[in-house]
Amino acid sequence: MSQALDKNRLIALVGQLCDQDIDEADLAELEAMLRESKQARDLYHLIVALNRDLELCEIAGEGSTESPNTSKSESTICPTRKRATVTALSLALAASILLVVSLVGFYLFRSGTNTIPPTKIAIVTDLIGVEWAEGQTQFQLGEEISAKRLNFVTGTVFLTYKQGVVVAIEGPADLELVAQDHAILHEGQLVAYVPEGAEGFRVSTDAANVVDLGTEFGVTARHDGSSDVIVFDGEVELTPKNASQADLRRVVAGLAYRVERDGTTRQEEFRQSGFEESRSILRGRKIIREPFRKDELFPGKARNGWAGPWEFDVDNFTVDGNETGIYSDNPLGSGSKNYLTIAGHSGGNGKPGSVRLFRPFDSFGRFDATQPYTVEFLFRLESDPTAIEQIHVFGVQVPVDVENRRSDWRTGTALRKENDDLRWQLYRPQATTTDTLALVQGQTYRFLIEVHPQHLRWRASISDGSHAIWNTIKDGEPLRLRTGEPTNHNVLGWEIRTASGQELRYSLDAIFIQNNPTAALEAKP
Amino acid sequence: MTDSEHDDFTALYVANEQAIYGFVYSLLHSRTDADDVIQETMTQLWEHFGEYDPSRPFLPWANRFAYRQVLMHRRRESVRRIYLSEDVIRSLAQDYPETAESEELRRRALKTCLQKLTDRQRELLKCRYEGEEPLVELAVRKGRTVNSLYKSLQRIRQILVGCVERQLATEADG
Repeated sequence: MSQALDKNRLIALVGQLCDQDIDEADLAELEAMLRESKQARDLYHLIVALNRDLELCEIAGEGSTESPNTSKSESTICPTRKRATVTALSLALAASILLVVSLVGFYLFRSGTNTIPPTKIAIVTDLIGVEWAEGQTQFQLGEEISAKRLNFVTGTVFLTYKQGVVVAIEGPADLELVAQDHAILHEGQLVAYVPEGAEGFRVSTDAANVVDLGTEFGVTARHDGSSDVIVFDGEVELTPKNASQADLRRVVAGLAYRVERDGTTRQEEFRQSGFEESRSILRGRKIIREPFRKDELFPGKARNGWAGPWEFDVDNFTVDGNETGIYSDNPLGSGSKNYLTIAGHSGGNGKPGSVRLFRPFDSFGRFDATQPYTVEFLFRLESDPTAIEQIHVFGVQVPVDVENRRSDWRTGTALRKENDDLRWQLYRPQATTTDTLALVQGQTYRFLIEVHPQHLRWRASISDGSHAIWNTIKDGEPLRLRTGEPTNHNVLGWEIRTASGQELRYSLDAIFIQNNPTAALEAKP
Repeated sequence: MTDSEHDDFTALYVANEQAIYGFVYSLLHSRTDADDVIQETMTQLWEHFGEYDPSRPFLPWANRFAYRQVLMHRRRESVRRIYLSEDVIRSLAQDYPETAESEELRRRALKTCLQKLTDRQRELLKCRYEGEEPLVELAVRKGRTVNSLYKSLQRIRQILVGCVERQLATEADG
């Protein structure tokens, strides 16, 4: 039988919770009360609502007003909101957002404290807001699953396979677990992270087979039988089901394809949105990001992993303060809403001008700058490319083992050969091929740079959504970081040199730096 | 999204934002958390607006996204902040009672009840909620311990909750 509700105790406990001043025992007591009775939950809602009113609204005016009938009626609650209301205008300016979530179960499993018996295929490592379909087994957190079908209406299910493959499936979804290296996605969306040694993991849909070659990729299976495949990192083999083997194609990071039920395959815009939450949970790490919130002034503050604000370093170049800032009228693409635009001009004295934009970052929360990480961002040149002599995207890494030394990477170098257009190319000293990508005004380019601080290695890829270039050189050895002068911080930067007396304008967005176990960068034994 | 869809979304969102905010706040019990989640929720709603069936009410549809964002936020922040466990949040979300009318009634009741507090009690509330003077500084100034101020704060909450409940009951009877 339930006990009578101790209201004063509940008010005290909810107050402690709102004040973030509650110990484990009290929290457990509060939770028990809330589980037990609807009356407690109703009272909770009232207490928290009052807390909200008090947090957001003006509390009574000055002076004593013992009677409600006094003239102190100006002591109203909520005529002036303290919280800035999201207006219709700012709706259009919502910042690009990437969720940062941790997945404790994943790391428990990966660290070997949780194992799957041989007959089992995967373990449920997390469930977020999952509502199972009618008649479906309601899998629990930590449950081991053998060959079975997972059918759920909403939410996200996270599975970890024995060989370390981690899959996030977003509902509504219907997934069939076939074997440890094979799953059939009948409907829904999934993201898979496949670590080194687990290559060959396969996801089938009605329309296509996707075989992983050591990567991170997403698959969407629709009602109409069509499927999308998007590759975030590494490479996959894509084969339309209703087509010959000759249609097998390799899809590399930064590219996306749609396969219709009849096997027709076409390239699609690379759209990260929709996959972001699952991806960040798979990584289970803190992300340094720059959402360029509209209400923040450029340059940003030192926080959330950034060790300082944005900084400029100019030579015969003037940054236009009125034009440089946060814009939202023409986002750079999927995952971009507010973005940063840099505008300025070089001096007209016959000498070239250069502008270097950079920002330092460090370990933060669960982001560890001494562990392998990736740097991602979108870049768009807004001004005339003919004014530009060269562009470098560069990074500085505080080395882990070498005292008082730093190391650098420099990539995404856009150079103009004689009478040629400006083209992106990647630094690859030992490679003979010269893959390049035209740098077109108004086109968005996605950069992905993988850095392995311990092995002083890095590699990069640049994609325009249709084509991608990347710089792992022929024997598969990624490039070594160059070492240089001592430094205190890691840095990400862009350096652009223009001809004399030229205008320059470019935009950046969706900047994410996050730990990512990039297997391909491991040192060779 | 077309211009017309954009306008539809904006109109619906603006009309329901307070209610969505209230829902999120009720599950995360802090302004900082609610502000973060509401941003994320808005982005989600924006991206999924094509799936919204206009013949059905907007708020329950929107709150489903908000609920999901609440859980995500809880996961990500639970290292640093204290939240209720997920099953309790689920029960609370299911029982969430608020309507625009009940919100208005409660605010009016709170306004009346705040006027019944003493100056000292209101001063303490202002310290806690408007941050005019940190509780620690107030404690020093008043020669009291922070702990005793928290106790007073709890007492004020009990007074306010009791008073608001009575006001609401009177309104309902009247």
